[in-house]
Amino acid sequence: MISKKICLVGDFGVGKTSLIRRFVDAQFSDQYLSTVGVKISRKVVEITPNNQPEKLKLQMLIWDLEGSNKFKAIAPAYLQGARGTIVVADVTRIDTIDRVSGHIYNFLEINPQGFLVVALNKSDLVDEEKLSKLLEMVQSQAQDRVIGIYPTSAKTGIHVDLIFETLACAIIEKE
Amino acid sequence: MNSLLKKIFAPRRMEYLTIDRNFKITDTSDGLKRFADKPEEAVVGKEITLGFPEFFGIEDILVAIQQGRQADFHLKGIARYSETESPLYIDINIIAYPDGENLENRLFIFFEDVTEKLLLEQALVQKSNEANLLLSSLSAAKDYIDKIINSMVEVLLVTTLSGKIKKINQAAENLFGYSEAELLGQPITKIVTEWASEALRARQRYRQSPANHQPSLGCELFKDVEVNCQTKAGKKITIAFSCSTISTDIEDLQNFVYVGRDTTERRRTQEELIKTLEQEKELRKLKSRFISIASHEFRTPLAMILLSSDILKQYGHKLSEDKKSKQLDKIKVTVSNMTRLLDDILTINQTEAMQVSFNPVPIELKKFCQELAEEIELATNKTHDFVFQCQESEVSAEMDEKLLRQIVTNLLSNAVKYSSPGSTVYFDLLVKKGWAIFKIRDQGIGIPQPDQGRLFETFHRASNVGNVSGTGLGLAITKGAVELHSGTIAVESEEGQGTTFTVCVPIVQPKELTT
Ligand SMILES: Nc1nc2c(ncn2[C@@H]2O[C@H](COP(=O)(O)OP(=O)(O)OP(=O)(O)O)[C@@H](O)[C@H]2O)c(=O)[nH]1
Ligand SMILES: [Mg+2]
Repeated sequence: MISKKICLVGDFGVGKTSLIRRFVDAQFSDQYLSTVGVKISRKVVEITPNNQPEKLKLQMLIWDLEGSNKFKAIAPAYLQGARGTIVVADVTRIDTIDRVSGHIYNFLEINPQGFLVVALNKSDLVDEEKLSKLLEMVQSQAQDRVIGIYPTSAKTGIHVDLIFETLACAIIEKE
Repeated sequence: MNSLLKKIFAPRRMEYLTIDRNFKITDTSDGLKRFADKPEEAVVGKEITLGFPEFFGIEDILVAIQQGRQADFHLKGIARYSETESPLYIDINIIAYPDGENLENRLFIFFEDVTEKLLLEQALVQKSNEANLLLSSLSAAKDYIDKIINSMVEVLLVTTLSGKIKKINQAAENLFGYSEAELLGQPITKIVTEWASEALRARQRYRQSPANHQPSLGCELFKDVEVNCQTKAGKKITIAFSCSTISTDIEDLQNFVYVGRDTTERRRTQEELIKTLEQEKELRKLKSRFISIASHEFRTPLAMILLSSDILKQYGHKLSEDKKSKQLDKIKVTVSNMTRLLDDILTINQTEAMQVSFNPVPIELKKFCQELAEEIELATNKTHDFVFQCQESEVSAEMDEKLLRQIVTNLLSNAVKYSSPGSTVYFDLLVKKGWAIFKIRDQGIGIPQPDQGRLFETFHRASNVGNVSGTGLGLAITKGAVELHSGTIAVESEEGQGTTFTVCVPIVQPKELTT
């Protein structure tokens, strides 16, 4: 079985750990426990990439990184060898959205051939209008290695599987 | 002793393994399994990524180190725990050592238990992140509320119980013309010049017994009460304020919140409406008074005529010629009085519609006035002393004789009418800078101050006229006549002291008016 390493990056508290927990364990907690260092989770997914005839089993090695803030960047060592990354922002905190492009840049500097998905998380907390406006904003910061921007909610589960599977497909297809 | 034992039996902080060029484990230290993600895979002969997933994807880095192209590689703070287990954090260092047997370098990978350090770090990061999240949600909330407050059309003010301003919004800054900084800490009376009594009472009641009100909930003290305010520029405005209390961060310490709308415009139109209504009402009152005066004025002479004609009819044959002619004279005088009254009514109608013809002719005023004064003195049976004065030898002017007669006659007969017999009526004629000035002064009952302003209005009669008969038309007619001459009329009076009327008329009429 093939394995692929992906990372989740983004500011602290945007919901990286929660998205992984929802995806891997189908659970959610309102409690906030800051991540320090890095935690690796595994999940086997079945995907059908466009350029493959059959379903494919893939082990995703998901790196949950410590959140960054204004003063602390992500250690580049963690990003080594990742084929894709999910940049997470919190729709209730506009500054986390402003920093999405910075995260995209940091990742591509180390993995120029990698793929990215942007997750606008906590979408359960804002209205549709605000959400579509934010999507527009991020759209304008994105570039061609970004294969998708989705509003997500670790709380309700909306679009959570989708972002992981989209990224997995892209990595397999473009190989 | 105890701590020494602990040290001896405690798990070691460092473990290591070595791998070959195919990333297979070739050697391990005794306690290595503890640091593996899957301990059963952390044995000699297995591929390293099976037991240690963090090496997945960095194979090229391992090769580079082994070949000496890269010195080393560190991964810090890798977490190894599931919910139930106590956490374990490790740091990983990869370095290459020359192997004695082969000529190749061997890859050494060291693992160090850094749980203690990372748990401490976690506690710090947790605190800092939570504080930052709180801060950002607070400032977002404050920002949002500020925006709402500042987008309000209504004026918003928050004051302490004693009335010191603590917050104002944009609308208030705009309306009152002060910046927020200029008003903070100032008493609210800086802008509110006069509270409505309703507002004062509501606040007073609250201050005296706030306990009667539910302290935690804001309570409404008054709603839409209009108060007078003043802007920085001194403009007077009316604001309809509603006031509620809010609790501050200290329990049972309240603030007042005022929300207000500018109602200056609304109030002005309202006041105008009231004024028009009042004028309308006054007019109706005057009209009905006129009707009652007129009917009274007509009824008395008509009764007199009836009486005289009855006498003539029934006793005509018995009466002497002398008595007969006395009755007939009475009828004649009465009829002429009625005619005068009718004339007055007609004149006033005409002047009000500006239909009176105006024909200025050359006239010598001194002689004209003197003769007219004598005429009236006689007509009023010399009950009063008339004193006519004029310094000029003669005053040639251009005026409408009929109208001038009306003016002077009205004023002189009023002077007689409203002063007691035996008193003096002064009549002065002066000339000043092209103006003829007629001053008629009596020592009569005077005109009360409130009536003076409305003296020249149709049907208006002063409140102190008592039984003295009059139509309330004379002065209105006089004023109309003066104005046709482009002149002015003024009154000075003190109740019980007397009255002076001053009429100023240009001696020669401006050309365009004489047509
Ligand atoms: N309402 C809502 N809350 C969420 C969602 N995702 C995460 N949260 C909450 O947001 C807080 C932070 O979530 P985490 O998943 O710990 O965030 P993180 O990005 O891993 O944070 P760091 O590890 O500090 O970088 C937690 O209290 C979660 O319960 C979501 O989709 N909706
Ligand atoms: Mg986390």
